[in-house]
Amino acid sequence: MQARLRMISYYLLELISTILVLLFVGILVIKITLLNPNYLKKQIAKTNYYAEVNEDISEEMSYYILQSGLDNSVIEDLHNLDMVKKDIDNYIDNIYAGESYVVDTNVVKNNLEAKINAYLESANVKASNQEELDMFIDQIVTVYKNKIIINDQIPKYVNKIPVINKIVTVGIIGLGIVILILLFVTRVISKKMVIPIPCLATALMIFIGNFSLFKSLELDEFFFWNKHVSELLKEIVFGISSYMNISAVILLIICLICLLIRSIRRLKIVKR
Amino acid sequence: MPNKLKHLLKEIAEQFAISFFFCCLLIVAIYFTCSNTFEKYINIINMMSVSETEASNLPVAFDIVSKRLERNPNYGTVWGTLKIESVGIDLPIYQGDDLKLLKKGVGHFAGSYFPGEGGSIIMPAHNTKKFFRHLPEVKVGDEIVIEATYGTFTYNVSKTEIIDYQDPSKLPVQEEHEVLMLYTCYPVNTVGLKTKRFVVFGELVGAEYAS
Repeated sequence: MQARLRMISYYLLELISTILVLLFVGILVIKITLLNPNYLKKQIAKTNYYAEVNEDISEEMSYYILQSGLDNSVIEDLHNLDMVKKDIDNYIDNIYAGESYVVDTNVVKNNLEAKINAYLESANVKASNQEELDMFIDQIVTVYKNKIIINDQIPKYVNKIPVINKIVTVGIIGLGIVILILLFVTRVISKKMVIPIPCLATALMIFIGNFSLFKSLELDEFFFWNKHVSELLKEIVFGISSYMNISAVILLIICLICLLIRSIRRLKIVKR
Repeated sequence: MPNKLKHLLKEIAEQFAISFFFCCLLIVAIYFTCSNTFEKYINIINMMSVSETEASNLPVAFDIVSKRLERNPNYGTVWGTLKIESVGIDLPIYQGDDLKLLKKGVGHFAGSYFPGEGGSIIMPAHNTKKFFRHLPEVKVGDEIVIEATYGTFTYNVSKTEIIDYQDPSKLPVQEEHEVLMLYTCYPVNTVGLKTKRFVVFGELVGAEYAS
């Protein structure tokens, strides 16, 4: 009777451990991907996002030149890749710190004003309506700002990131401790191997889950907001997926090592 | 084979079997509890997948009886030419009116009607020399011709108006009668962001449908 009870407790505790290990891996992957500004920057660099945004800014600025009566030269060299990269990186850092970020558009604005004045002087044209000229400058500056921040609604949704980050960190530590205690208790009760089952079951679930998810998703033609953002989101999803797979492989290795150690010990006993 | 070794192999096999069983059990549990939610989000993501090859390459077709286009032109494609001989305008018409398209020619506001459909046809273009620089020189009674892929439509300028750029009510989309509305930023000879629009209104006076 007691042996049966022990057996049931063993299976039950192993099942709970499996669920907790799965949760642990999932939260850990979220922590090192979505909640990590460096991960986002890495993915941004991978998709050539900075250069694309830099080109996009030039392209969109040129749309306003056509109706402005000004020459294309006034928007040339208003910004560069380093400037765009710095602004995007600062924006990401501030979002993850839960702080509001104002893109410093003074450089663009001052450059533009100087270039417009130079153009008007060289073409011997007088700005008849300063208000229209100021509106044009504001419009160009807004193009730069909007391309950096993508959407001014984003900070409203991400300002809770620092709190979530803290909760997740505490959650990871807590779950880790609970898993260790649970494995120890299971081991004491059952006197059996306790690590391989949660590791192997979790690894299998991750592989199957990843496979079925990517089979159902049509990510090739995925489009959200614009081409660069879509590519970036796709890269983030693929990154998370590969981190999940790496975790599964690590769990599989842990499982095999445990089985190997057990086997070696048994073989030694047999030899003796 | 010694008993201990047999026991070991049995134990390893048992570990694998239980792992597989737990995996299946949890997958079934997740399937029955969260499959609807997963499906919902997967569908949302898949709806965001747009294939450019999905766009129809069939030509624009017009039904003379219902006076409606059976197949609209694809966004960003040229479906006609706008000609105003009196001021030397001869430009391609693109479907859509975003700023990228307006760099190439005359746009056609996708929310408005097409020539022959009997409603408002709204077409913007930039005020540069290449496009509508001379639009403000158009006089009442001048002829505007739209050569579409499905027919040729002639309009007479009925009036011109200068409107504020933030007042779209001056360019109403209606289906009571056919009105062509061409507009550009105004004035054309100043620098800066233009807050006025010069609009040319045209009434349909002739239509020839391609066979």
